[in-house]
Amino acid sequence: MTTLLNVQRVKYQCSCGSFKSLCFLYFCRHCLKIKCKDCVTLEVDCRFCPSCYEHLQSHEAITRKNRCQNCFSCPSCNHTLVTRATNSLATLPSNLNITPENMNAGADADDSVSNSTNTSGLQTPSKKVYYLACSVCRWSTRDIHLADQPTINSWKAQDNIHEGRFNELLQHYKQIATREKQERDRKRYSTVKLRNTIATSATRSSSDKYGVLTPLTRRGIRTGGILKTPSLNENLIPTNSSPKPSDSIATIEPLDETLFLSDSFDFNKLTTITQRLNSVESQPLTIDHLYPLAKNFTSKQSKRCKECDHNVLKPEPSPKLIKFKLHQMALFFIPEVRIWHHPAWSFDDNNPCIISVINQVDEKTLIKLYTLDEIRQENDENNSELIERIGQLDENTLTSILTFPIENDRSVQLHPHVEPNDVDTKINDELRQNDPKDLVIHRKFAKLAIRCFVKIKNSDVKRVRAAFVIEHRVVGISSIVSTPTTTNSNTNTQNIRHIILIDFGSIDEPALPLHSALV
Amino acid sequence: MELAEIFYKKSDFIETTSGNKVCRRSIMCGSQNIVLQGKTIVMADCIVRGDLAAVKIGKNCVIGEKCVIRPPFKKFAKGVAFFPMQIGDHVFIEDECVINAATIGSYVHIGKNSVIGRRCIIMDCSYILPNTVIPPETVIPSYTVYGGSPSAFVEDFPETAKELMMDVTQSFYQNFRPIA
Repeated sequence: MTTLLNVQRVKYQCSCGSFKSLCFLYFCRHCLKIKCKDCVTLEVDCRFCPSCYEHLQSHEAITRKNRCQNCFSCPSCNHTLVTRATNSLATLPSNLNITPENMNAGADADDSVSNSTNTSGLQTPSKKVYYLACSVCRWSTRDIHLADQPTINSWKAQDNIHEGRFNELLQHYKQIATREKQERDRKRYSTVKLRNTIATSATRSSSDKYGVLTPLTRRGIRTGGILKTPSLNENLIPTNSSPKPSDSIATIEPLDETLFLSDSFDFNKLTTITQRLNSVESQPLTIDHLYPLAKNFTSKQSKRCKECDHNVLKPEPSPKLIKFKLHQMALFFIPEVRIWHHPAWSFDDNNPCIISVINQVDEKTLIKLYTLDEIRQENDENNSELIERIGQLDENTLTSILTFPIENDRSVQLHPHVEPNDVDTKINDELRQNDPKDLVIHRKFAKLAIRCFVKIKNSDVKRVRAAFVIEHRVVGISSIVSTPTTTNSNTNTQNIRHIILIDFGSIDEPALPLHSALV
Repeated sequence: MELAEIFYKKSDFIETTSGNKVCRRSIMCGSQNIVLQGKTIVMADCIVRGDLAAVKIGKNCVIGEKCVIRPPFKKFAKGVAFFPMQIGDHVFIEDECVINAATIGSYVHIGKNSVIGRRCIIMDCSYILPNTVIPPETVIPSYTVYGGSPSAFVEDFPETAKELMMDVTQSFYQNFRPIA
């Protein structure tokens, strides 16, 4: 739907300076700033297979290396493999005619052992055997001469020949990490007792040093200490088992050019780089050695503001639910601006355009509109950051100047957000009386149509882009919890301003049709 | 950008009591098996095969022109059986798609000219790019964008998918106006 609404035309500026469409942005209610995907840290909440939606606990998923046991990808095209069943004869073949195999599409695990009759009428018991096949590129496990399995989910993972060496190295580095962390913590906090959230130093090091730091363990490093128990002192004794150093090869054999001339090399049987790297452990050279790849788990992530460390987005733990426990998207707090009409562009005059502002909050909002020049002239202390950000806007991107019909004090009231199907029009009429006539053309529930003028700067402009500033009030959450008797002290309301960049389109674009409500 | 108004001739469309608008030029086979929950728009030249199995379409859906909605089948030893097909609420299917999927969740957007293979399951809040071919029996997880032929994961979808789709389908329905 991003293409239906053309959301990429209207971009809001995030607190990091980048411009993104409103539907992609988050809003932190503690620091009262817009956050984008790059300003938030991710935490993995829930791990599940994207194909069978099997949900596993984090520790279990990690021991299974984040791979599904039942779902496989085709090594050739990376699509999901389908289990197919055939009947095969279980007993010895006799002199009679052999019954033909019949193929069934899909996994029929519930069918019992079927009996097939041959032409002379004798019954030979046959068993169902399963093989994996790809419906896109027609690869199957029979291509690598893998025997058909009698039970449905018994495809074993390939043995990794390097596994022993990997484990040896991993253990060695884990010990080093533990030792380093203990020394670091001991230097800083010698008497602070360990917080009860962090279990042992061993589990901490398994996810910390060479992995992604979760805020839980990050906070633990900041404030945690060392537990003074005798068990920890035992861990301080370094183990002497360092792994064997790897052999270095001094010379590499040069490429034998006769290889390409001889006929023994069949290029059709070689794997592509993508296919080879999909199974990094074995990296097969020829297509005979391709093996089905277990599907990687995907995750549901919760997002956290980098500045204040509060959660911005928290999904439901079940993979099938699409709801969120915490859903602070910018779309719900900030009025949305959309292009409604623009004329065929002419270079000299002020082209009148219509933009719509939609209130997404459940209460009446007062919004104020400012042009960039007005903000630059306001020499307030509070505005210095905003003025700086406006100054940083590249002059080449802003190819046009946007102005409003009224000179100053453009503030309009917006109705609380309602579903478009509601038909209550009384409040509309109330607010409509206070609207400045030139600015507001049309008002319907939570949506306003505002007229503005766009003047293109010079004649060799290819795309029409303009920016303006919107100001509105937002109710935030303050992190300071005062005494329980006071009621309103947990909220702090502030007026915040956003820079909005509108890309009206190419200069050759024809005028948009005018909506019948706007005439 | 706001959605543009689309005008249609009143005689071209049948409007039911629950607000469904079905074009007279679309072909609804087995209409007693087809259920449209309400405020759904079915545009011209669509083919909905309700004669093979039950087709249940949610409310506020939009099915573009020249689409084919056909329930998926499963081959058994003794023949084929057609499975009922279910499409969720607030689904926007653009023009010229061929849909054989078993289940399409709610708040899904399917781009133009795409082919959805048989027995696919498209979970809620996902987006299928135009000109995609989805091979049979794939599962498309929530909040993802899939594209290409054969389809592959392209990028993540913003978490506001549900609100966006509701807004789009409802404003499309309101902008779809008759002229006498």
